[in-house]
Amino acid sequence: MSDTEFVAGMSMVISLGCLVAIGCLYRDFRSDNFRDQLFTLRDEMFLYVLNEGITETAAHRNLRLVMNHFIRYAHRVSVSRLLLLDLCDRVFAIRQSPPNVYVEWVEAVDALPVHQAQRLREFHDKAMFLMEKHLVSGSPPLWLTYWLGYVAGRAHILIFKSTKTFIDRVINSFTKRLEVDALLTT
Amino acid sequence: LSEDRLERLISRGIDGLVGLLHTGIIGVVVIFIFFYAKEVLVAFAGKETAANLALSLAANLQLDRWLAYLVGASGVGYGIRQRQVRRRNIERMTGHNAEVEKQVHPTRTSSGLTAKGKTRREDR
Repeated sequence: MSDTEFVAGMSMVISLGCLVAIGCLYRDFRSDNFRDQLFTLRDEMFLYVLNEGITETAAHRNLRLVMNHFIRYAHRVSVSRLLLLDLCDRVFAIRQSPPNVYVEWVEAVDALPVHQAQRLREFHDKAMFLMEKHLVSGSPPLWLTYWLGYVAGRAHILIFKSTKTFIDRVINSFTKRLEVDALLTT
Repeated sequence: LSEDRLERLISRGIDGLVGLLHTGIIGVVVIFIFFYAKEVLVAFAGKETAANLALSLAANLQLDRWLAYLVGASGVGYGIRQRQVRRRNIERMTGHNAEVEKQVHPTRTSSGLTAKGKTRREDR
């Protein structure tokens, strides 16, 4: 073996070691980033409800609870977990009913004036979107699927508006499962 | 078992499984790296191994160089993303505080940095 080959071999060993270290750091960073975005959203929501004078309503309290669950749950969001949850649901024939916190929140929001209800639903949707983003960004195979789906979806939406509703429903069903898990287990 | 308890139990089980999977993957990669390093050292000591062929191929393809580029790029990317989060954090933590402080103490002085904690263009 020549010296050049030895240096190349050892460089690869060191580089692979560094890549593993960066990979571990990046995994923690992703959770921190997701949590940070949720904190920002929660603060934004708090300022809104403070201005509107609805801090002591179940609509705010429960949505804050939901977000706090998401914040605690951030390190657990992964495709592998979602797949295992889905598998367990099928194996144990679990029929998920929405958690009380969520049911109460929906009822409380419905009781609010239209503009406030809409704004609070937007905050919830944003939190769910952040979870979707976190889920997709953490799985390289999903990057490709996401972009292919996005391009195909955009093209199809131009022809059929129902596709958007269909895609939304598929994505919602996945993230809703994680929402239920977050509310029940953290 | 009630459904809630079953769900919690399943969740705990999945936690353990996913944790094991992650540790397992990292463990396999680390073992591979050590094995590879051993093969390189053995080959360098003069013994003919299967690694010789792989190493000469890697050297010819300059894989070491490309891997080093990847490490560098990943490190820089990680640093940039960290900086973005830190700046967003500064914006989140200081925005509302500054507003309240201004109400309580209107003549308070300011650091003069931007909302994200960066140096203003005119101060550069």
